Amino acid sequence: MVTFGTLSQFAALAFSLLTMACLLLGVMRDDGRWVQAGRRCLVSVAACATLASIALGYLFLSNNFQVEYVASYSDRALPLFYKLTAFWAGQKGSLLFWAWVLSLFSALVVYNNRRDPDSRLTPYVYLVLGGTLSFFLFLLCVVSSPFDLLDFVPKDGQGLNPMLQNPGMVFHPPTLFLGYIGFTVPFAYAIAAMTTGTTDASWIKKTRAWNVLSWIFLTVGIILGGQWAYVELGWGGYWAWDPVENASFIPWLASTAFIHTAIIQERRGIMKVWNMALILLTFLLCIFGTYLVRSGVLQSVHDFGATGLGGYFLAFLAIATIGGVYLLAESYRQFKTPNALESYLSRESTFLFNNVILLALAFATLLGTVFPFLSEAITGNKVTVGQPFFNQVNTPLFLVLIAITGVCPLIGWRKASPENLRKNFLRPALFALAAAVVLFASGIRMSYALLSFTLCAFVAGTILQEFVLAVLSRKAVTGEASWTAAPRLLWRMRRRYGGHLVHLGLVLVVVGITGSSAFKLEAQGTLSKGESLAIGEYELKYENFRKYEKLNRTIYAATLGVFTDGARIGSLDAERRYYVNARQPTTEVSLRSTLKEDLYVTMPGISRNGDITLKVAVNPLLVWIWIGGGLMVLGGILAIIPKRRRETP
Amino acid sequence: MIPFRQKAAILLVLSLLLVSPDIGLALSESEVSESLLCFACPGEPLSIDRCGGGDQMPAAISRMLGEGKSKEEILQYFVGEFGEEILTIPPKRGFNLVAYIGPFAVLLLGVAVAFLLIRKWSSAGTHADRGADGTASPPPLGDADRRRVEEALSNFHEED
Amino acid sequence: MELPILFFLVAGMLVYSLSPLFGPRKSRSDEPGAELRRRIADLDAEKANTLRAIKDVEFERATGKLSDEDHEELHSLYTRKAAEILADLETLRNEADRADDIR
Repeated sequence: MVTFGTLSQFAALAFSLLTMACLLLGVMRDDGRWVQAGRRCLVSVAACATLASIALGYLFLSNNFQVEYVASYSDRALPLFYKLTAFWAGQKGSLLFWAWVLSLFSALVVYNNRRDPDSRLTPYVYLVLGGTLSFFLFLLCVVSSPFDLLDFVPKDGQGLNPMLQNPGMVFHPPTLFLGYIGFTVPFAYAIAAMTTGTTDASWIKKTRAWNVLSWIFLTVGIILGGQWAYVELGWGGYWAWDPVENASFIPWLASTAFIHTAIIQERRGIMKVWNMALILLTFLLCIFGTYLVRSGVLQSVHDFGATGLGGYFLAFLAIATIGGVYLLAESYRQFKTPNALESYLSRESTFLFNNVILLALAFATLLGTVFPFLSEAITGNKVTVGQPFFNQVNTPLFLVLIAITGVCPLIGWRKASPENLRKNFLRPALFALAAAVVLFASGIRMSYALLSFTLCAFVAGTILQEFVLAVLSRKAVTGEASWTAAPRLLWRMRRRYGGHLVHLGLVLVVVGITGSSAFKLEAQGTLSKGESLAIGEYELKYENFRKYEKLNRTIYAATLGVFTDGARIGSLDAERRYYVNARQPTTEVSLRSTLKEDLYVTMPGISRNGDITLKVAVNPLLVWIWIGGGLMVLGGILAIIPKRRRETP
Repeated sequence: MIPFRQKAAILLVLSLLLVSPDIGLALSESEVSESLLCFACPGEPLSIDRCGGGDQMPAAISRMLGEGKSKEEILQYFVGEFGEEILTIPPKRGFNLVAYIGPFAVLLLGVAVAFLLIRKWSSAGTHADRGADGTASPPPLGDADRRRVEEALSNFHEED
Repeated sequence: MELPILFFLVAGMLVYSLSPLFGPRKSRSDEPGAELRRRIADLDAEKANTLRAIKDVEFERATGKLSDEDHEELHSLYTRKAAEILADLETLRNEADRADDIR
């Protein structure tokens, strides 16, 4: 099966090179036969990559530890589910996963274009997809193959890192990768549009679903990553601004900017060059993200080329950047349209500012992420850029972003009348002011928290007002009752209100972030059986201790009674786990989550006499981060459900 | 050189104002430890640290807190011990200022460009709409044309 | 065992992929009338944009973001533009029909 996998990879590489050759010939000779052959080659790449992936999955399932990759990330005791997901636990498998998914996406693009097989755009789209595939398949075949063998056959594998044996971690990398990979398709269309001089918005229309879907995947990936960090790492937080996290956040910001201005191009036919630049940036950041996460550069800053991947990735990035910028410059004149807006006060212009802020945030995050390298290269000074830095720099930027999210629904497309704007501004502003007064009266004095909550109230107020006004006007026209008009409006204008729903989700996320970071309580203590530890309004009583075996681990669990006002409201099991094949015990987080706050308990130590050391935190409003994240995803999905009726010319 | 410095100083003050910490509560151990890395596992912040090797650091922090030292003094102690790399946040001086000020400079620049663009575009838009002098009223639309547009509108079912 | 299967699979894919090369030559060049059709498509897109603009300003007025005067001004502006485009489209369509008839 090892040879089978290796050969499949080589076959995939051969087909992807063949794809490029056929398409180039077809375009140069103006011969549709070659183009069709190239298209079929692209489908064959998907088939071969699928075979290679099946082979790797089979090797994991059959415990073939002579394969170095399998030995590094699996062992006999690993549960079946995690054996399959160990596929993408390391660099080599992740590369195969990337290539496989991209090949499937490419085949999907071919399928979607089956009815107009010979448009001017598509050969170039396939060419870019084939080129990107060739790069990843080349890495797999030549530099870092998951099918490499060890010189000996170990009795057992080294096992999967216990921290990765968690459902959140199982789905976090692939969803993130799906997002990264998905943006290759709009990128390919943009390159094709530039090459062929297709100046209309057709590429934006065709790739809208890809954009939003990839954005959704990135969002889900980021949320799952935060959730995993929260329940698995045990330090009480969900986001540490470490480079791996930033690598997913930066493209998310760029793609969010792109999604907004893409709407403008679709509606108004302006900002063509800017959109090309943004999708190019998004794609580059996605590749850069993959590189940061999976090349090993972060684990050991000093062996930059240790895995041999760094140079290739940088070369690919350089080629894509230079090629993209060259095409942009070449086609600039062609794409440059006389941009015209009816009014300086329009949603179009608010989108311009939202772009500026999103990109400033992306820049700040990128700069902070690479600053240690930069500083060492330029001044020779080693510095660390950690969480407090990002909080300091990004928080003000983020608050500005929230504010503009609130202003946006107040200003209509094309033009807003100033007096109406003033009138519409009044209610949400009063609502926000009232919220601020209530919060202040209830004793909240932290300036950031107060500002953040007030802005959130403002945004929620404007979105609500816009929706209520729209429902009222629909009622006036159709004579429906509110409870039928509201859902019908939501459904009929789902693109618009899907977007608003995403913003509402963002508000909830910000509420959760603000509450849990500004009002967090922490306590630590060592308890003997029967003793308790108090935090906030809770009291935790150490009631019982157990030890038991489960699957591939031994678990030491302390049962803690949770009391408020002397009444027992539940219990928590604080756990330490000893995994087979793991050198260190891991701490399991136990959590009591309510809409108001999370009670978060870890047990860093157990002493011989049975005393336990507990770390406890109360994270107010934290659960709203997950709820808001869910709402953002739902809004995104709502916005891309295709409409059934089509305009008949 | 001076104007740049002045600008930089203003920007710095602005950004410091924006990010000035809230004063009030007593200094806690976690407030200090969030500014420090674990010395035993490079790159891991002390507040997240799971290795246990850095256990001496929290102990030292709570000892110094007990002695009534300020956050600055405690951080200074660790910098003396391990160098500036132990801080999670680069000191605000020299080249490091680039990281602090850069994003805000980019923001201001971007906002300025956006303003100029919008002004240019909206003046182009209003001129094109209203004729060269902006006052000439266009001839009224014929009934046939109007009906044709209305019919097209009623057949137009695109969402949004 | 698995290797011969792989061999046949890949051979099959190769035949599938390269078979179009042995068919009759198909030029990718634009057929006659393509230019006209492209212009119609462009104009169609512009028509959709303008109609959407009319709907937009109606919606923005209904949700209270546009005053009646501003609405009136923009509405007549877009209606005029839409009328022009519709007229142009009709001319082009007739032209295309004639070209088809000649062929």
